[in-house]
Amino acid sequence: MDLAKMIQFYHVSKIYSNNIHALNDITLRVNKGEFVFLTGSSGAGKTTLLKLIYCEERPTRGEILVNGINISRIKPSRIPYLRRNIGIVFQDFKLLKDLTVFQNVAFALEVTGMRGRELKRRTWKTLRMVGLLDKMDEMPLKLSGGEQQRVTIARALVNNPSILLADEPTGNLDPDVTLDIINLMNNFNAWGMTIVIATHNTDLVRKYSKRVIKLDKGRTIDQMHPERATLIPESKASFL
Amino acid sequence: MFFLEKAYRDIRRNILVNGVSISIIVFSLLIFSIFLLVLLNLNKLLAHWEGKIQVICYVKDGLSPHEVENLEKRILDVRGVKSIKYVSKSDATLLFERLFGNQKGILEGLDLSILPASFEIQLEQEFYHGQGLSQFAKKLSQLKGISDIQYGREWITRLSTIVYLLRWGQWILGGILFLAISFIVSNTIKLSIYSRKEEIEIMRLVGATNGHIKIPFLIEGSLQGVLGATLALGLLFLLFQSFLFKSGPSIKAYWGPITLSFLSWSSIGGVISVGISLGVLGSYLSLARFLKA
Ligand SMILES: Nc1ncnc2c1ncn2[C@@H]1O[C@H](COP(=O)(O)OP(=O)(O)OP(=O)(O)O)[C@@H](O)[C@H]1O
Ligand SMILES: [Mg+2]
Repeated sequence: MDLAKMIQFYHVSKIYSNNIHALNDITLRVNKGEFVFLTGSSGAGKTTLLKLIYCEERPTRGEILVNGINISRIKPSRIPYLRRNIGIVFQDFKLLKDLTVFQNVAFALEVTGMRGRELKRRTWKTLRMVGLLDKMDEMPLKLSGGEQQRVTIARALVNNPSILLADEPTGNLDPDVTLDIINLMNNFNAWGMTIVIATHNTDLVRKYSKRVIKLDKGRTIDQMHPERATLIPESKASFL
Repeated sequence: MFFLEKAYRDIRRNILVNGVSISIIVFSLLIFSIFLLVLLNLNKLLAHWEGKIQVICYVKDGLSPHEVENLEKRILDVRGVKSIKYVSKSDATLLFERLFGNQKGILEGLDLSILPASFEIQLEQEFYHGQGLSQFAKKLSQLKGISDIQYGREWITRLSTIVYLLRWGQWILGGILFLAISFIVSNTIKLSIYSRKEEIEIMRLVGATNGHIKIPFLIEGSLQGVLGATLALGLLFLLFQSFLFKSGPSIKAYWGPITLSFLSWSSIGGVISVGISLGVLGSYLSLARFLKA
């Protein structure tokens, strides 16, 4: 197994300006090519943890390394380049309603300065991977929820990032569509992409034997590894 | 060029919001340029009237040409005289006749030789106020050979007050107006940028640099400014023409030889620059909020 580190947190705390301690002394590590679920009840700090990874928030204390780069000290002007290496997917899709599926996906390439044929080729290729090539000229609002989430996944992946972060990606989707989406991500993971999914859907987490990082009130109370997760029931795992 | 193309696409995509903000820019700049236009013509009118400020002093009858010449020299020595013109008795008669033109009949039987000779004196500008004038008149009256001095004291005092108020007021009013339209326009632009908050957020998420996010908005802002200013000036020109067409004759009757003029090219350039700066600055400042990360 390749254990090269992709995401590392060293004693990271995040205190928001209103003195809410969202994360408390978090130390964790996600390896290259890993698929990790980040769970915990509402307000546990899942979104905050993801935001720290893509530099939407900066840590109050501690160090964060992404792909070997210490991003706790990164200059603001470098953040865009970091984000091109991280795909991000949200519960509420965040698609632009007045652009077609194709334009929504190509949007992420345009931003990097790519134009013309290369942009089209890459966009088509990514749309094919998520199974939406035939809908590329549709407007997003004409698509089903699952299809819309595929568009955002395509947009997140079109820049060939090494990490995919998803914050409650299936929160608005039916159970079977949810499985489709997670399976799709699982495919990308099989091709070597590092994936972190934040969710409080415990059924979902149980269906896949992946590592689970569980947060409670801003602390990691549990980091199950797949091989142990199958051996230790969740209720007991928290005592380890 | 990509950014121009994108700005064009974005304006078309957000046609409603852009339409609203351009209309507001047009309206604000129209008000501003109407102000400039009125001011321009008012200044012109006042300058014309000021040019007419003169003191007339009548010469006693029976002075010899030599004495008249001496008097002229002594008048020229009084402080404040810019130029002086002698109107002899026969000049005065001619003027009088010309004034009555084809109604010469009225003058028949009148002895025009009672019209006195006079000096028409133009003053330096710093004497264009009530006090200056009366001091000047007092000095003149001490000269020998002058029978009477005439100047429209009240009228001149009033005019000089108006001129004074306008000279300062135009800056104050203009400044207030400018601040008001800056406020309105920048808020309009802020709204149009807020309406695209989501797009900016997504751009940031997918790794757009600040420059890449800003440039299209700044181009859009300057296009809005140019377009708004051009439309405002076009409208102003139409309004101006129709005003001339309708009220031209009556203005001529009142104001005589003055013609109303449209904004000069440099003022037109100024209005357009104001439009552009408002567009660009408005966009820039509203963007700053989103982009500090
Ligand atoms: N921008 C912010 N400013 C201040 N407090 C915040 C901010 N964002 C989150 N918080 C607070 O930090 C804590 C953690 O929030 P976070 O959104 O990370 O939780 P979460 O695990 O994602 O919750 P959920 O499952 O409801 O999405 C909460 O108490 C929340 O109120
Ligand atoms: Mg959350």
